[in-house]
Amino acid sequence: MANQDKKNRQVTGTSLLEVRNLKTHFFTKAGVVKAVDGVTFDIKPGETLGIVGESGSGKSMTAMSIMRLIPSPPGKIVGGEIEFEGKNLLSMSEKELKKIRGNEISMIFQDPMTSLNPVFTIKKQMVETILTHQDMTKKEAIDRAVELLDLVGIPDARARLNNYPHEFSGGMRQRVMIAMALSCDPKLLIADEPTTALDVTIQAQILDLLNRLQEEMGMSIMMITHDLGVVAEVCDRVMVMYAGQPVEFTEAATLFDHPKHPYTWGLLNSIPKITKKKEGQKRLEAIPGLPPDLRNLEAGCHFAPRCKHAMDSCYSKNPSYEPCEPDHFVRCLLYEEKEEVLSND
Amino acid sequence: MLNYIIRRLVFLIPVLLGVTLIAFSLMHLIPGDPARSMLGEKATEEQLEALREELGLNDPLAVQYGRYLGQVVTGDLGKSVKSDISVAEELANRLPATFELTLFAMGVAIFVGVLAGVIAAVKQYSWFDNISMTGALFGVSMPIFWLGLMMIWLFSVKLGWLPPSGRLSHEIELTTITNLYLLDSILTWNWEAFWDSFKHLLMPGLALGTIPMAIIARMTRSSMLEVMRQDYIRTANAKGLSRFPVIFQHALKNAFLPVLTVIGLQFGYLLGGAVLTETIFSWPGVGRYVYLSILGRDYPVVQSTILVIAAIFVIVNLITDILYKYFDPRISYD
Repeated sequence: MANQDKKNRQVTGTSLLEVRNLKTHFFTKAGVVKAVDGVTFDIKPGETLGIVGESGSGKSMTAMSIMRLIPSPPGKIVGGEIEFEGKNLLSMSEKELKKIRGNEISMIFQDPMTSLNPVFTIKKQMVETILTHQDMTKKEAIDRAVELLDLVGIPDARARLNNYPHEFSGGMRQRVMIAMALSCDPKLLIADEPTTALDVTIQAQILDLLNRLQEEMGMSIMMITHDLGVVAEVCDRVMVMYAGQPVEFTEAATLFDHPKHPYTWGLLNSIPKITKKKEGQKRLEAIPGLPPDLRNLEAGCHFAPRCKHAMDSCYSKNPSYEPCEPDHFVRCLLYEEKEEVLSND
Repeated sequence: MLNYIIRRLVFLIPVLLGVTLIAFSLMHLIPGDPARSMLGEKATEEQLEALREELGLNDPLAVQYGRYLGQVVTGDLGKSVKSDISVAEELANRLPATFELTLFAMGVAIFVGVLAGVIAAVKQYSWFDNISMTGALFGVSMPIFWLGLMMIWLFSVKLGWLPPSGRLSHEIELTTITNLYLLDSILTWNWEAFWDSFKHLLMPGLALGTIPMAIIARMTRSSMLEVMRQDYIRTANAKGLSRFPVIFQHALKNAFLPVLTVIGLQFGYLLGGAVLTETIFSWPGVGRYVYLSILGRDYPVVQSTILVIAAIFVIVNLITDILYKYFDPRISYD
């Protein structure tokens, strides 16, 4: 159903955002943490790109790198390129970046409970965003804020403007965050696990809202999530990340129908399915083991120690990130060495 | 909110009653005969008896306390044994001097302390952070009397920049309105008096303000460090706000609550510190008055001054509690 909605939307060919071989490392006393280590992807205008992975796989740090908001020290972008509409974000001055943040690229976060400043009214927080980027009077900015709250479905918007964040429920706060993020008609909205902290029913509402707003406003969305259900609901394409690297990148439908990487298989198998008893219930499969310590990564494929299909060469040779089919990138030696491809069970 | 203030004001009554009881007991806890300890060894039995009669020391304690309470409630704080001048009158003359001194000390302490704390937090582990926090450590550890004497030695004796004592030079004339000299000189457009009273105020003000300044700086730093890591600061940055509003609005307003608590408590300390500072710098305020009265065993004065200082302290704490609501709207008093 979600995919039918998307047909109304215009996804064009040239990229809005291009990230190439991005490397963001953290220089801590205990060693260098390679939080993002060679991430490459692009987002097209009007498209929703999903970024999926476990906690600590580098999803959020990729997003923070795009915003250039990596806490520094200890973090540092040590390599790669980020181009937004042809402009290199990595070579921009802080002043130029401020014109992009909240304006052309805006962001919403995981926990709406803590993402809004508790000691300011919603009005103050929305109006300051609008006035930072747009040439308006305060009164016009307030009207715009009301319009935005209406748009995200907050009833009685003008009165609620004078409320503080603690006077809203979690779902309503996330709506406020979305309204704030959309206040300057951004071209790209980065949503960092926007539904993780919310109840399931509220999650669905927020995803529907994002879908609707994208249709109306036409922005691209970078949807960071660890929930493949969210991907199925809203994403056009998906990148799967593991240990700071992309391991698979393709159309959302392809990923669900023909996943290539053993890690993606594991993720898909660990989603509970409701089946009737006679159709044969299966025990839910978890991926054994834990993600590696990003401070001392060993040679070879980072997923090899947890991979059911690991071969001897997986422990010594680094797999390259290549298309195994057109528009289907995968980082796995199974395809590189042209071995017989194991069927997904 | 108004309800809360009224409720708190009503609560003042038992607190102040307690203070009167303690202040009253002071006179009777002193070993021996209060009359004797006031008049000294050489007083004759007649003189002692006359004083006892005057102070009502021959009545039962409960009666004495009742009488004292009755006086206090009607605003009669008693008379000085030594000078026979009413304590209320003396306090009215001296309180403005103490207010001027403590407000100046607190003003400087808050301004410098908060600013240093914020910068130290934003530039954590920088040279500024290291130097200011080491300085703050010294500031906390420095006894006022030592600091005051060193300041006088350096700035008055050696360099001759600042006057060592008093509030205003004799040759300067100032029409007083509020008895806060800095304020009065501004109100009467008297810049000569302003500069002169400022020079007099500077050393005692800094000596008194050093410890609160150091404590406020350290508290602001640690509170800011915690707040700067919060999600809403990340949101503020992601909105494209400049550094200044992010730090001084979004972060500082959140970080200020614990600092406010410290400021409220430090006010009590300042009132105590004023006794030392005023004595060292011959500042004609309440602190010096208490000090001289203790030396002169002028118990009615000590008793009443304690009561007034305690009342001020309690009211400052009430104001602090009310200000919490401004800094954190989540606090509810109802």
